[in-house]
Amino acid sequence: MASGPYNYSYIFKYIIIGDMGVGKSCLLHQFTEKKFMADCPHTIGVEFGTRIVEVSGQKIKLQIWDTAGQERFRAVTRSYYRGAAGALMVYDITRRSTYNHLSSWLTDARNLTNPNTVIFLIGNKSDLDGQRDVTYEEAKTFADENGLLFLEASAKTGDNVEDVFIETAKKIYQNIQDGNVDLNAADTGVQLKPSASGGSGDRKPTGNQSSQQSGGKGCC
Amino acid sequence: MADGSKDKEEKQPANPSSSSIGNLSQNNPLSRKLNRILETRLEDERDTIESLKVLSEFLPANTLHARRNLRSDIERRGLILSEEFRDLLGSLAAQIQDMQNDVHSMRSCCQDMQNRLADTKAKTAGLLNETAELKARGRRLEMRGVVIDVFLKKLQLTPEEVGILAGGVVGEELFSVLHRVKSIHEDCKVLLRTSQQRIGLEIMEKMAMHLEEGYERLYHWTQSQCRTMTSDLPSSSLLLRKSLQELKSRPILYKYCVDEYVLARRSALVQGFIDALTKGNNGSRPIELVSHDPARYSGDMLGWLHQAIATEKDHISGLFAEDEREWVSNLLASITEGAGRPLKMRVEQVLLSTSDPVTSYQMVNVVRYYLGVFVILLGETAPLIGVMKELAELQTKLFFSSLTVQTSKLLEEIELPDSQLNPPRKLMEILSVLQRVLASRDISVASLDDHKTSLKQILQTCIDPMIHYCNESASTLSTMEMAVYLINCLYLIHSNVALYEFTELALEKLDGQIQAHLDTLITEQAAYLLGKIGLLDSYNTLQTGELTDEVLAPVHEQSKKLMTQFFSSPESSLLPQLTLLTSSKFKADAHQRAVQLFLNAYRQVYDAIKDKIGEDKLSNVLPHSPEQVNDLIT
Repeated sequence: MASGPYNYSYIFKYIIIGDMGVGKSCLLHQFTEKKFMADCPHTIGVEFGTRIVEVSGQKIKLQIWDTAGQERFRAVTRSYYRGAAGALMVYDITRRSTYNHLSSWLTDARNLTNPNTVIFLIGNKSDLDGQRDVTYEEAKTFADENGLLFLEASAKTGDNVEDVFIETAKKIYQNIQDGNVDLNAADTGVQLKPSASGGSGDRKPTGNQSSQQSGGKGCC
Repeated sequence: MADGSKDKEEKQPANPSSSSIGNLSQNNPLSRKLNRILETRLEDERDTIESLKVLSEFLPANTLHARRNLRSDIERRGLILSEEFRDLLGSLAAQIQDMQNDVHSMRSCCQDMQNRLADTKAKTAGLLNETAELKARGRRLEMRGVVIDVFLKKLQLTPEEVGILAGGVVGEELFSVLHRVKSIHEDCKVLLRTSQQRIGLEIMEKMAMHLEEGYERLYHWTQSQCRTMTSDLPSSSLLLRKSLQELKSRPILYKYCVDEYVLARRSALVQGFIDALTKGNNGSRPIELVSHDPARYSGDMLGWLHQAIATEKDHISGLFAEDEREWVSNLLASITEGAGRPLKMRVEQVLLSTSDPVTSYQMVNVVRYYLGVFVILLGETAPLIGVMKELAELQTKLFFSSLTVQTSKLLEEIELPDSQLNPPRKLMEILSVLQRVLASRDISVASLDDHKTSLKQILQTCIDPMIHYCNESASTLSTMEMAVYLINCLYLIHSNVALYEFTELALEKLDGQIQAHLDTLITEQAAYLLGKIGLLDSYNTLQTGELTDEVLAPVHEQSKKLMTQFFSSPESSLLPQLTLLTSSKFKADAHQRAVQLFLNAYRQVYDAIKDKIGEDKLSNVLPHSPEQVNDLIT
């Protein structure tokens, strides 16, 4: 019955932010293609990737917007915060400056997304432990203080990459289950796919069934 | 008993006698007989015992009479027995005779029966044959029945199946029936190759009819499903996907369904866009709230569209399972068509109310960026792309006009240079605009050539009026001051523009102008130096002809004095205007080159005078050799 990639119940929108060269696109590539992209070119504006994951038995489509880290693209990238359900904030553990800029990225994320957006802090390039410039503990403290989820990952080896995306989805899904996310609200970055598996109305996740017409939409 | 005992008594005496006469008995037959009798052991002779017993019956007493009559008794008895026996046999014979009669009659009965049987047999043979034949026919018919059953099962629809085709809900059953109809149709082609062409054709015709009917139903259902796909995030059931796949074999019906879908999505997209702009869908921030920031506003609108297009694309590929890029692009192009108008309206609105060239340039860049992104998604010919191209063109036009306006407005009133020959304040203002424009440059994915062309145009738009302005404002100044002033202005422009990429051409032009003015300065400076030591006239004369005594007269008089004066403090020999050059590099450069020029001129004059008046008198006129001067001055 299932027809592979088209059968899912939710769409979660993610945005990946962080300084230039911290490996945002590589993380995305590793996640969607399960491959490391060496010599990744600088992102122009925004790029886009999707993958379906399963959380608590629910198939969820992740729609991931990978933004350019360069300042000159801010005019473009800031339009994509709107309605993101998850924000992955990336720094490079071997470059302290990228860590130091986190607070400004966080400010952006907080200002431009909604309060329920799950923000996940990622220390990328964990495979380069020898060149480490930011300790795990320090970043962990920062994350805790700001209420962020945190993991160190490596887009090169793929270590923790899967976890980062899926943990974020779990947290978002948890929020939906807890009723913190109103599926009627447009800004949540969560879209409910009303009837991916056949007839309509066969799922009732949080009693937001009426959202099919006007709500369930987050990509604005 | 009495008999037995008598026997014993008889035997007892017999035994000893026999033994006593044993030897005699050898030859005497009587004795032998006797012996044999004597040797007989009565105990063992059962028959004898038995007969004796019987004998004892009719010999009630061992009387003489009895003994005498014994024989007759026995014979009489035998006779009786024989008679009895005869009687018995006689009845037996009668019985046998009876039996024989019975057997005879039985036999005739059997014969009779056999005859009748033979008769019957002969009579039924035909019947049997007939039956066997009928049986065989029955079997053949049965087989034919099975074949027909199979045939019908294989090549005909059941009433239920026909019912499914004709009405009821669209579901898995309909698809399976459709597939069956198709396969029947296909199978009938085999029939056409056999002698059963007629039935084949008939079935095919019928199936074609059924197929049409089924597709018709499927089409109506699919179309109505597509028509309802106007929600923000349309549902795409597996069933619908399957229906569309099925309908692909009826291109016209398929196209109608696709058209219906596109129509539904187009209005959904427009509605979603308008909602996002004005309502922000249920309490979220509407995009129009940022309309005070035109660049952000247009960026947010286009960003929203970008994400909506991505979702639509995803949905299309999910629903139609079409991979052909162009097909998907065309669909997306149609779906996004409706968004063009609201987008254009809003962008134009803010555009026309924007007079700041920096803002309009930012807008140009944002639109150009999305133009690049959208062209990949929607194709070059999409209506939305057309709208965006128009917008980009309009924006570019407005940008340049506002840049021109701002520039010319600033430069309307000519400002006279101050005493320090600093570049005018207005120049700084324009440069700061230019700088902001260049800084907000370029996020578009336009080709490098386009990029360079637009930059060239921007620079031209700003720089040419500025230079013109500087020239105008410098018109009242002396040559030296003008040169310094213009160098200062040009240098300011140069150093501002040099911070950005792809400005080489403009920089080159600026450099050329600076060098020209610098040359003027250097010549002036060198001439000034020559003047200081009173050799200017001589040098000038030397450029056109021979040195005459008239020209040399003043040199004789004052050169030595002037030179002593000059070389005692060569640093004061700098033209005052030269110190006003803002660039210390140019200052040093000018000085350096002026000195070089001066030294060359000095050497020329020195050599000429030496030739004229001879080496011995020279020290009175020009006490320092060029080498010495070089050492003194540098």
